Amino acid sequence: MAALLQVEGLIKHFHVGQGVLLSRLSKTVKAVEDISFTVDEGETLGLVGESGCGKSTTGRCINRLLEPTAGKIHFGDTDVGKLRGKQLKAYRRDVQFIFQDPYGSLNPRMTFGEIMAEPLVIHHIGTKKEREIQSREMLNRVGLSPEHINRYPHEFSGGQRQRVGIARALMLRPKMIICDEPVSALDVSIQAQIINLLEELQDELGLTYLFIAHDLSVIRHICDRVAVMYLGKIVELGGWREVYNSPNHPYTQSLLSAAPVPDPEKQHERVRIVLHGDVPSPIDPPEGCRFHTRCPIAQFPICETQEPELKEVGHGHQAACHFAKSFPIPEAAALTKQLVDGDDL
Amino acid sequence: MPLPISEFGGKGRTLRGDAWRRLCKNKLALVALGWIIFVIVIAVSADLWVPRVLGNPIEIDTTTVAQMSLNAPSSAHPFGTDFAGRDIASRVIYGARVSLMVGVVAVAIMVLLGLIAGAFAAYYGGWWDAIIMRTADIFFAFPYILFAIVLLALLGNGIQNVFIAIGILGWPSIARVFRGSVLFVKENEYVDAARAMGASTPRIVFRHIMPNAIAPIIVYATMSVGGAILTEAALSFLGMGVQLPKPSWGGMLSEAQTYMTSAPWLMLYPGLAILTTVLAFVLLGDGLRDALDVKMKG
Amino acid sequence: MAPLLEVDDLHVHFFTRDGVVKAVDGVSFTLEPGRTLGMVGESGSGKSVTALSIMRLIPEPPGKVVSGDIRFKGRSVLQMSEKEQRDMRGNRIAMIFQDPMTSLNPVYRIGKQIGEPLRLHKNMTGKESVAAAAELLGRVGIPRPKERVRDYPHEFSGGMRQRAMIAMALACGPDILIADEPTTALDVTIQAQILELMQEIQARTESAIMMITHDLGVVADMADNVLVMYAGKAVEYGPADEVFYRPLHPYAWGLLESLPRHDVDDKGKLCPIKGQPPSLINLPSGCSFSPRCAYAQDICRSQAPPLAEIDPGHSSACHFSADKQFIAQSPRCAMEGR
Repeated sequence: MAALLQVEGLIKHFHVGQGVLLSRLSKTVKAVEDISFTVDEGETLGLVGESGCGKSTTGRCINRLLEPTAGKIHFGDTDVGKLRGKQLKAYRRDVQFIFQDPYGSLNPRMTFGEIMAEPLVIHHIGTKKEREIQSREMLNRVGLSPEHINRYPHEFSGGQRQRVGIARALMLRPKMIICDEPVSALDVSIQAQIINLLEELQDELGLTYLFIAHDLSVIRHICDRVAVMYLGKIVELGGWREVYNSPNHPYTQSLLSAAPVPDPEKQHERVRIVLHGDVPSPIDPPEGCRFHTRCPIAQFPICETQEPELKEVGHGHQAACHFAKSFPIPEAAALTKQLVDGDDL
Repeated sequence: MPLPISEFGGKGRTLRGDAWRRLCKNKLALVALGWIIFVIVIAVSADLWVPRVLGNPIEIDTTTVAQMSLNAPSSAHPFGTDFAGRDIASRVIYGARVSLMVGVVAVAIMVLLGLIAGAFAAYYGGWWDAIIMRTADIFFAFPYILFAIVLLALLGNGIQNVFIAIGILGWPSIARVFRGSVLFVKENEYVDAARAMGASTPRIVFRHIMPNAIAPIIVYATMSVGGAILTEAALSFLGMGVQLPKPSWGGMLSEAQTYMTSAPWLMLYPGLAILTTVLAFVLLGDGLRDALDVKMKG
Repeated sequence: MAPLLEVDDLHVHFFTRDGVVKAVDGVSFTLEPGRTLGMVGESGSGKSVTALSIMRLIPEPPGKVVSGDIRFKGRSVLQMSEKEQRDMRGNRIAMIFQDPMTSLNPVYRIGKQIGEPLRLHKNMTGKESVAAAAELLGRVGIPRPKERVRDYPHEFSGGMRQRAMIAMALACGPDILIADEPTTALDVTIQAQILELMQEIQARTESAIMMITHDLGVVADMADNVLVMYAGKAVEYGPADEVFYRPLHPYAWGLLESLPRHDVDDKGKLCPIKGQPPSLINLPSGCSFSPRCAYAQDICRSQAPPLAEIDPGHSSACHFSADKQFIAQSPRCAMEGR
């Protein structure tokens, strides 16, 4: 399968300045720091991580909602970073975006019909009549009644609004959709409906998804391959089976063990690796391996001086750790807890 | 602590419809609106009936001056007559024309200037924002009435200059309110969604940002009409802007000072006119704020 | 011996211009010392309103407890005077809220805020309360507590702020800790820390915990008993094992079924519950869940089923829960083979 999207060395820094005059005093948030990955046609790649890991920022760089600070993004043969004007607009037909917040992502003063027709209007597709027909069809396809075409978002629930958000993303018949936490704001019983819908549409339309989320069980369900991010870097990358069944990076292992499962017996049996301290600030990330301040198996001095590269640990499976799987974690966690307690955060 | 009411309820279709219904439930605001409409109708239609029914507001009929002067209110002259024998009601009504014109035109000017300034400051940020907002701050530093007087002294008298003076002085407040509103609306994801579709900047500004950011301006502009009317009254009281003998509420108050105790009706009616009209605009603005507020929560 | 907390057929309605919102429409449960009750439900299920009612924090117009009772150590909370209610809040029953970013006052130092319940209920002086606050911060795992007690909330991270909130809730050694979605806004690894902290504290102090959440994983981790809520009603109530492995109510089946599996290798389609949660102003007639229930019969649409005890300690609000054959067909049972 051909790689549809190729990201190489993507870097995104934000300046949090002190106003215009004192911009020399500004600090830099290193949100995404040199990441590389590919997405094949028709597959779903998951970007998973906690807040501040850079997954949303990555998604927005790919469709140029944010301008990358450095790095290369290739979509098919196109160098996305170099696109301007009309070409950038044309790129937007191929790569669409679904947003997290069903309440904020739809303009409250536009009807569903207007919201869905807008992409067509912007790209001068079809006549007014044709657009209306397409909008109705699309509403139907995402499970809503076509009669709602003249209704306003505030009359509907979160799940229904999210369906419209999905419908809107499909209007231009994109090749790839970046889904930024599409179900996180929805109730559990509605999440399943939307996940099913996304999967059906993928099968039917041959879509490629970049799926960004923090919920590990959702990622496990919908993704073919998974990239685990921490503080702007990819720490583990591989097929979902490999990453979930034999995680190599200590962060992945902690993440998986920390996420509670809805099964009391299993939950009580599990050995939970509890990380200590808070996530460091992306303005001032730790030297060497960014995870070393919280890592249960960090070895000094190498972990605090040398940044580990992503290296192969299995077939199509990479991890960025000097000591991936060299130490069993539960015992090490208990030991380092005693050492870490009473320390500075 | 959010009450579990949010999505379960409202049967209204459009947001504008919802706001209108809410406004209608506010009795005070409806009374205010009614009064304003009444004043507008009377003022606009004045030429058709006032000179016939009540009397000419400006001309002095030298033949009857002596007996007509300073008559207390009666059926022929419901507000009484002034020292020159002119019907006060007639003068109040023609004065209303002045006040309303100033209110509407001055506010239109300040809103136009303020919207442009606020939009530039909010959308482009950086240097634009700094320059525009600091200029606004400079305007705020000056005492308003003094600034108005100076401007009128420079521009000369006449009603057009009153519009201009008040409009120029009023843009910073509108700009500041609008800038805040735009900054808030800009953060919404539907703005990002429009960009992600390939929308051009003008489209984003006019189709997405403006309609959602305009609500606070509607409230502020309505209340500013009241403020403009008050400012005009102050200026004409001081003899600037609309000159006597042309009727204006402030001018009438100025003339009425000498007769305060002997013929209080000269002061009473223009005073009441100012009070009720300004109050009506402020109450209407208040009502609009309540009606639109729920929407403004995004 | 009366249970620590008893909620008896509670009904709380909100009288709004759009209609009567039946936020809580029949909820009953008990709470014992040292035990954790997991209240699980989706948005609009009434779990937060129930908790706020216990604390008497519901604004009294437009809200109103229309029927039912809440008894703390045998005494009715609803009959308490204002003063008795204030004595109870923060002192005997304490609450932790969802959003650590907004539940602390940004203009006061942490020590002052944590010390507030001590000054109010235990008559401590300002100095004493700050010293006690430092000790509490240490107990909830914040390093260098004597220094950090002088910080402002914005200098604390989300996880630390939640710990500070827990410290504040524990200040007076309450009998009951009500936690309203305490970890929903936190990252998974921080959530694990907070949950572990709460369990440690419970082991030490024997306080009861009421954990309100929509996350079934958290419930599985923390709860001894589970109360499942839907559209303002308690639809299932029982020990955690029973509710997870032998659920009696179709909504519980649907909820458990719709979760992505964490253990199977072949990933089929998810089994969502069809439809939307109902409007609390226009509840469906009969059983509120019937429009979405795959097993609904005529009786379900006409008669609202009461919460009835089916097995010892395990209740369900469904007309067919007592029918063994009906339960046997539940998808959960079929899958677990129990």
